[in-house]
Amino acid sequence: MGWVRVDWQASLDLTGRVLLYVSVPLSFPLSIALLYGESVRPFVVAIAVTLALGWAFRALPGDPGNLGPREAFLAVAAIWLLVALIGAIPFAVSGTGTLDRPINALFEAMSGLTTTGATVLVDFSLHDRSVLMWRQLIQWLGGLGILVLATAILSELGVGGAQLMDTETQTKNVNKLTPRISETARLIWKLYLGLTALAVGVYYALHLGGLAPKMGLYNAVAHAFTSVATAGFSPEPASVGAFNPIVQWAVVPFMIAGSTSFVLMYFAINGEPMRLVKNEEFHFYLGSIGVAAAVVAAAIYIDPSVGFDVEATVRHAVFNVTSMVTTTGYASADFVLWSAAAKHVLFLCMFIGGMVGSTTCSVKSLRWLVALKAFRRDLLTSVHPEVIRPVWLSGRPVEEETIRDIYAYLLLSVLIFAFFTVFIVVDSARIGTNVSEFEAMGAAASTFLNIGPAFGDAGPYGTYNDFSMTTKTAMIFLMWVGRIEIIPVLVLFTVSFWRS
Amino acid sequence: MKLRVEWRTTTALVGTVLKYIAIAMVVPLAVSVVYMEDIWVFGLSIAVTGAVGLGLERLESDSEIGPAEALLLVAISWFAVALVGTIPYLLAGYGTSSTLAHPINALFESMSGFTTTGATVMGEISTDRHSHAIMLWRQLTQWLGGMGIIVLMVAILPELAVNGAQLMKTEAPGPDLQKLTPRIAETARVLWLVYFGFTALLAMLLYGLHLGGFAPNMTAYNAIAHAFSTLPTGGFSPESDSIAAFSATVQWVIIPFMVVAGTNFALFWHLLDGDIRTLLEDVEFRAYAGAIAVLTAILAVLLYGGAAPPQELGGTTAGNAENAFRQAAFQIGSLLNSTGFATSDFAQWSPAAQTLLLFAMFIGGSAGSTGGGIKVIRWLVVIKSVRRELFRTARPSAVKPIRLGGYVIDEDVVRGIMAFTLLYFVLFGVATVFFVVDSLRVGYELSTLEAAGAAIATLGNIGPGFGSLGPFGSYAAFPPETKLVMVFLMWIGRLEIVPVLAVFTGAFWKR
Repeated sequence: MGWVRVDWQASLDLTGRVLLYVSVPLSFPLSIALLYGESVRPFVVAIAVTLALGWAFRALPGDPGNLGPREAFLAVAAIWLLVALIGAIPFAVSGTGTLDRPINALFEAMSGLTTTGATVLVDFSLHDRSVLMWRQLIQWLGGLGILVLATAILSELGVGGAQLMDTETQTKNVNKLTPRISETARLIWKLYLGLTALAVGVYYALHLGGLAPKMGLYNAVAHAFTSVATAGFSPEPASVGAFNPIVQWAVVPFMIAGSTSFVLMYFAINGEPMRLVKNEEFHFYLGSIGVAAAVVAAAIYIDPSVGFDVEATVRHAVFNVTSMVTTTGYASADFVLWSAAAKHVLFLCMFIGGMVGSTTCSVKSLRWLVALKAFRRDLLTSVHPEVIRPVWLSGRPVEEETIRDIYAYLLLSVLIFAFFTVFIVVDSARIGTNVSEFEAMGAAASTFLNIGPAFGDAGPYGTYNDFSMTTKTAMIFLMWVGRIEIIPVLVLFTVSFWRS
Repeated sequence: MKLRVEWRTTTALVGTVLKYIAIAMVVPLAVSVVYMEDIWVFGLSIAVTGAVGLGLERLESDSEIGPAEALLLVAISWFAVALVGTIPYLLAGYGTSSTLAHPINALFESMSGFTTTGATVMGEISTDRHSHAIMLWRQLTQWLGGMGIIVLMVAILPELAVNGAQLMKTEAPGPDLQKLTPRIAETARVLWLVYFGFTALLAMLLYGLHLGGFAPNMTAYNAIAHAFSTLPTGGFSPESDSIAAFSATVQWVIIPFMVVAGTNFALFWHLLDGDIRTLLEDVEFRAYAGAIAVLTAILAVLLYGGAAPPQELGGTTAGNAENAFRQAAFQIGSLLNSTGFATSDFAQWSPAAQTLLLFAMFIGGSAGSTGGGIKVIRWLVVIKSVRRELFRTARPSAVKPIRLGGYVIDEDVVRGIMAFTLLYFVLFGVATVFFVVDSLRVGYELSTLEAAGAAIATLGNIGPGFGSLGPFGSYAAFPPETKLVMVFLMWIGRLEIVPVLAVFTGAFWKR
């Protein structure tokens, strides 16, 4: 292996450390299983495997070496893949319902870890409550993981313009990532935990106040896990639609908070709220939700087949648009039954995404905002080529190289989405399932952009179980690629990455 | 308020453009005299267009046109030309049940013509229903729009020679303009000469086939009409069955001319000099020809395997090698570079075959051709810059310029190309959703494939889409608001978005 110039031992060392940590959250569903008297085997096996694998990686001979940019990419890709594999073990070992097939178990675990929320489950009542809670918890872990990744690693390495994120220190210390990761993680994870606790408190208080009969402690914890992580799994087959209107309204702010920059929220809590309030990306993000919700509300209001009153129209429009833009993937109603107009607007919402440095997925508001600003600038310079004018974002000029990175990232996303849509159409035609173009587009966007529900059979109350084995495998791959911002995975497939 | 832009000079030049359009209307007038139909329609059209043109010309001021005026001139001219192009449709349709009697439909048809789109709102396409002159006017608008009205003006008007390069750059497809000769007016003349030459050659070949007995219905009228819409990658046909109305030989003859229309015309100028290597070694031409070859091969295999039902027009392709190959080559040659002719109702093909065609629609012709769409050269740059992005991620310190055919591409140009391509997709996506929403408002159910097809077919200046908008279908059923948006998309699509949108920004006008 003389020609490999990546310190892969360093990447595996970090991966091993993470795998050892994964055993801690796995003991939570284990205790739930003990509490409800369900089988503990799924979790015992998973804990044993993750400890053994983690220990093995850490025990590799030789000096682990330094974690530089390339080692970080390798570690990120490996961690997300391996944790999904470990996460699939409880599903596969339990083997109930559609989880009897290993590929389905892996789909569910990858969908969970990447905070997608697309499910292959059909009958929720077949599964143990501990297994369903693991499904919620793995999303919460995925949300935490992405926060650390987004705030500490990707912004530092400048993946697809992520360096624009308003982090506390703009250090260019890319050679020593490890201290930076632990520093940021310490800063962020308390906020994440606090928001989750607040969500549990609010949901459970509604229950205790008699306003939400179904929102028991189990459901309060389960939904708090997946709303703050903008993830979207729910132990209820009808998602948040299973609860009364007041719960649906209560979930909306937590989805929005989960998609707001955690760094800016940290500042807001620590006496600098203006940094958040005056942030242009924040305006763009909230504005997109507002505009899209208004259009959807109009579309379902004029649709005679839906028949909501005014409050319900506003609520369902706001809830489902917020769910799509923040990439959560909850649903308050089966929007598959809505008119094509409403569905197409929801589809467009999938591409926006929340703010960078949050648990959100998709391509993110920041990139669209910079691209639009850069394009407006280009219109001016096309008339007056002599004018040199930088693109400004929240009072700071954006480097031209960053703009180019963002363009490349957006184009790559659009192209992968387009090719994946074609793949789903062709592959579904091959096995003879009837998937319309719109359903294929929805499923491609929903998995690659980590949203969750799509349209047709894969709608919010439906399942991805009916897609072919090859399509599901491709979806697993693209959920993985999409979640860690494409480039860390794709770069592993280039020769120049491995060679000096 | 003092405007930053010298609009008077610009408007006067738009008047000059319209004056020449009035002169071009002499061609359908002559046809109407030959067939003794609608003579007054074109007589009156010429009078109105000429009067408007001469009237605007009186605004002439002494100031010269700068970059902003050039941009404005190109954007406004194209819209003005589309407006006066409606006059014959409106006059001929007045008092009849023709769909073109409605002003928005007439504007749609006219814009579709000049921008070489080829999407139609005509109900019944035939020379029985409409006069030969009107149908030929429809073809002629495409021919005029193909190589570019402004390029033509630069070629013939000495006063435009000063800023001609800027004007032609604004109008010509593709990110870059090759100067063939030191003087820009000379370059414009060369381009039009090559264009004219190919058109004449095709018209003669088609009529020759007719005389030789290979094409019974390819009369002199049809030969000229189809030459007029092949070279500009237009796609209109006076026959409702498009090219499916003609024999297999005619279809084979038209294929290479469609391919030529999507090629950079500057390369043919070198070819006339006996320099064949410039063409063969051109990176864009090789990619363009390669894309056509690969997609044709895949589609031919699909069609041979039964991806198309037996049709009255397209015939049977399953198991028929010649027909499968011909249908594949024709449709790819037509849709990839935005022509829009059809020899088979591909709206009835299998999902895989239709998806392949939709894919081809996003490629586009070459820079410096008459083709629409994103253009091959942009794709080459986009692919290279995405690869460079991955390379730079692995090695942040490395500096790696983007090279194309041995030349380093300027970073500003690379950024411009990426911005264009991205904006193209954004416009496509938003337009698709808009079409669905707006059609549903008036109770017209549109499938996503139909809406997406309509969006790319208008923005990319292709013409036919899928479903009810297929090659033998019509855009007439859309609500007027959607049609106006389509007119806008065709307009910005032909001028490659930036010039038109720039005119709509406040910074363009204010000092």
